[in-house]
Amino acid sequence: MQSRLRDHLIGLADLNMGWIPLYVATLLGQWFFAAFRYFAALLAFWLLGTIFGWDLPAGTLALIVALAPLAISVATLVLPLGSWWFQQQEGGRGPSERERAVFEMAFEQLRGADPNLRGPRRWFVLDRPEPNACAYADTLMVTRGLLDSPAFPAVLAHELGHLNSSDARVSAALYRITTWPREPAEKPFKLLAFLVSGRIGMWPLRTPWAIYWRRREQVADSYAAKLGQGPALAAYLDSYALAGDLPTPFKDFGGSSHPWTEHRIDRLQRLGANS
Amino acid sequence: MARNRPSRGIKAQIENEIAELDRERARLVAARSALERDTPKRFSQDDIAAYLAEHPGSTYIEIADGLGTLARNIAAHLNRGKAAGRFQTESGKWSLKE
Repeated sequence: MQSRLRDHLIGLADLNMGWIPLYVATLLGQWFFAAFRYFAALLAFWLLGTIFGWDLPAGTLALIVALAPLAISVATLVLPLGSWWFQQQEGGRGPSERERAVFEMAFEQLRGADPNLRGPRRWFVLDRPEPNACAYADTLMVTRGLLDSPAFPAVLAHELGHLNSSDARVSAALYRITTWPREPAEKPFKLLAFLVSGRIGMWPLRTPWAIYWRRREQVADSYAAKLGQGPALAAYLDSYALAGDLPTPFKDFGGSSHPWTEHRIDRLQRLGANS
Repeated sequence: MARNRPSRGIKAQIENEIAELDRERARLVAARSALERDTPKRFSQDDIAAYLAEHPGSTYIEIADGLGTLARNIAAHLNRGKAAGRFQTESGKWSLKE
């Protein structure tokens, strides 16, 4: 499955232009909020220098801390960056020979529908029993439970829909545009962490992004249906995802990244009936 | 009072219950594996060849289902059999090589 790097660089044909204005708006907002990070880092480096007597280039270091996430985010859009870190962070491992064989068989099955289908640049296994997968940057994560599941080709087809478009890279770029701490901090650091991490810059655009991602889930479902996996993906969603749907007030205007599962099943069944 | 506080509490409670169910599942899976170790089922290329003789054009999932095992237990056999020229595959459908 490992192939040449240039085969996995994003190409113009892969770009879904809808994300570009949203990403530019997000990036511009982050330039503004990077100032908070700059002053917080400047203060921290100045304190370190004062306490320990170190002669630190505080201004330069603070500038790097402030702007590096923005540079990394933009680089993520065009370069295959950071899949090793993602694997370590999730606690994943490389696939065994038999797992690799399962993957190749599922992929070959999908290639029967599209001989030009591209695989992920890298994939790893998470030792969890429930069947699940996600695409991030240029990497696919699959659980051990999914590899054993009859739904694997269907879920793989859906995730390849994300990987073979701009989705996986854009989601990684958005994640990397912010810094630690990405979860809400405890008082009295709550506001400071919100400002410094850049999460404040994401907040105004979270609804447009959520609308965009819900649409992209439907596109990835269509991609799976095109590969002949519509009914199998609908069956997987019915068995494993539907139970996770809960009443969500104002879902259409909130930050929910996935459409209602029942609507996805409905749509996949219609696509299956029409194909 | 922030309106999202009660739902955050319910979410945390659900997460806790899911974590407990995950642990319970892991315990049951371990118990099942221990029981299965008493009656080990090992598959060979011959088992797969016998299945494919009766069901040519099966996907790897259908073969695993037919033999009553997980895909990972037959996948490597299929690949090695293919490399050895015993099995062939076209668009993910497996059969014996004539």
